[in-house]
Amino acid sequence: MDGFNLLAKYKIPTVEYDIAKSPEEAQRIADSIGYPIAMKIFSSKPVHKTEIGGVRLNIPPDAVQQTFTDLLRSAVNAGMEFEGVLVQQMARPGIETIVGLKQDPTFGPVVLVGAGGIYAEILHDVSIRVCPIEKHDAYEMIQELKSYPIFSARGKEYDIDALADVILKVNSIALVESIKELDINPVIVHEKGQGCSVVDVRVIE
Amino acid sequence: MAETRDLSLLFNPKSIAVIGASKDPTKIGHVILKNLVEGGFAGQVYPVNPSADVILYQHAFASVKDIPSPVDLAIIVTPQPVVLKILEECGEKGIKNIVIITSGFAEVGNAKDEEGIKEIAKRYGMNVIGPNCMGYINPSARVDSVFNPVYKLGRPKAGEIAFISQSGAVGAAVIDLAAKMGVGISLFVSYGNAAVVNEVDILEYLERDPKTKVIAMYLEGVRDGRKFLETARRITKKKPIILIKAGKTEAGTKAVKSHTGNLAGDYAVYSAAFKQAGIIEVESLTDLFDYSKIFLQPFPGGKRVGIITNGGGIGVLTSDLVIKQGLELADFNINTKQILREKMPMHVNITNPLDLAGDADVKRFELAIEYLLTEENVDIIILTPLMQTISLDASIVDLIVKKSQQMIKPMVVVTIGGSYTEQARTLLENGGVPTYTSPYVATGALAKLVWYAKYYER
Repeated sequence: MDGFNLLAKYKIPTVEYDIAKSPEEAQRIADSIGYPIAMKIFSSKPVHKTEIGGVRLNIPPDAVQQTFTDLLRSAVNAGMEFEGVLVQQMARPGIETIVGLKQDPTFGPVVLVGAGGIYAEILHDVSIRVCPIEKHDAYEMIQELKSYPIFSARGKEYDIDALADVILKVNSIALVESIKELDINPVIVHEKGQGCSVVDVRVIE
Repeated sequence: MAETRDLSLLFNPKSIAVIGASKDPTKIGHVILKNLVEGGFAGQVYPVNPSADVILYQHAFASVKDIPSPVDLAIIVTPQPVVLKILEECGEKGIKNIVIITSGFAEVGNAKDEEGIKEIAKRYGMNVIGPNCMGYINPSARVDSVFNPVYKLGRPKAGEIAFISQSGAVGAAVIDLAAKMGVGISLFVSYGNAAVVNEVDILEYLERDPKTKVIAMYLEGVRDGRKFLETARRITKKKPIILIKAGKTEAGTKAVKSHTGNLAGDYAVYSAAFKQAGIIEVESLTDLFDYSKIFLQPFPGGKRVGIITNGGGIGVLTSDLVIKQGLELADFNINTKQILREKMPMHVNITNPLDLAGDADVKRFELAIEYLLTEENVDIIILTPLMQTISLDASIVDLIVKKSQQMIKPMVVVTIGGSYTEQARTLLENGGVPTYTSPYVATGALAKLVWYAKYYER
């Protein structure tokens, strides 16, 4: 699993996860992570998991094995080579963001942070920098977001330090690894002091 | 490409050969020669044309190699098929600086001849501007290779703003506009295909050019993004760069790729790079000079604005925009208030905006300007005199120019009105006072000046 291995290598925090090859293995992994659990079709190739019915959330203990079978069927129906099922801890609440990188034809590697979900694309709420960047750039990028006030609204403070840290680590990935494009999406930013956790990642080499 | 090109002789030649000079007044080879001869260029001009003896009272040469003296700059306006041969002859003659006006190279897919230019330039160590360009105008050296006739395209006076343009046509139109607006330029360069000398080389020249205080740029794209970013970042620490980027919309649909790939489109990355380099990006061609000219003002100590007007409404409109642009309305200190209260008639309210009332004369303006220039709580002055009132005579222009030239604080004028006001505006602009027809542009430009003053100190 290239994307998650990459995140592990750069110590970018993810939700707890493992890959199951059988319904029984899925049950074992889910039991050890704790409930409720999220289950997704795992593929080393970039696919839109949601569109092929490959994402199931909030699964209780007695539905894990049936869900495994359902996901297997979805993968087969979509004509995919079945590589396994990703069994993941449900992410704790927080603000959804996206962090990514790409190789620009004119300027080389660039990093991006954006509002999560549909907001980045519809409201174009993103901030971009040409690499390399420094710590203050990462903070400026977050502050430039239109949704920045949400990080300290309604008496709650969110962990901007943790998000800045992810941006800086992606900057390091951009400079070291030969990756064309990377989406870490979503990065869920928890309340201050509780860090952030990545739920999904996509690498285009 | 690591070392810096020396372009000082290219832009300040003592002798110029116009290759392709023509007797025919409808040919650009005629216009360029005419502009040089009649424009007051003090050095030698050599027309080169194989079939003419005398052009515009100048002795013409059949070949550049027949010219008996050294030549600092050759302007090539010949038909495309002979350009490479001519360039080679320039090399043999020892000419190191060339402007190739002629088109028909990489821009039409003729990569082979473009490579030919590069090869010859490299072999002889030449600086070549173009091909497919307008060349340049250096008003103080009176060099002008722009092939539009003077009666159709105004030439700006000498000044402190340099303007470099990737597009010749846009560049020429903006230059015409600058001339009409009364904005002075230190150099205008249209660099076309940038086969040899590119935007980075020109920026590096302007970085060291003492006549240039501000750099304005029209850009479609750069070849080496990293080099551009690094150069611009260094220059903006010394001189501001104001830029307009063309080609912002993404053409066509893209193959499925990542969200990041879609979100960080080509223009989005350019814009990010401009920000990182400290470049000030503007959205329209008129903004390019409207924003550039504000940078010839002294840097403000802060962002507190004092507004002086003789029309309540325009004062209020301007105040709204001051706030909207992230600037502040100054709170005059108690001494200023007391003195102004004593000296002003009772119907003048001593507040900010300072509305001198519809019967304000030049004396009242003078008093207000003097006090706000020394007022410690005011960093910036916006004057919005409505020129239409009977009490305000034409000497208001002289007063503002005189006060502006003291260069104590940034001071701009917003004047709204018809042809009488337009005349006053031109006189103010010619006197070096940044003058605007809308408070929106004035406050927008001031906000950038405030931003840059802080960036500069960093």
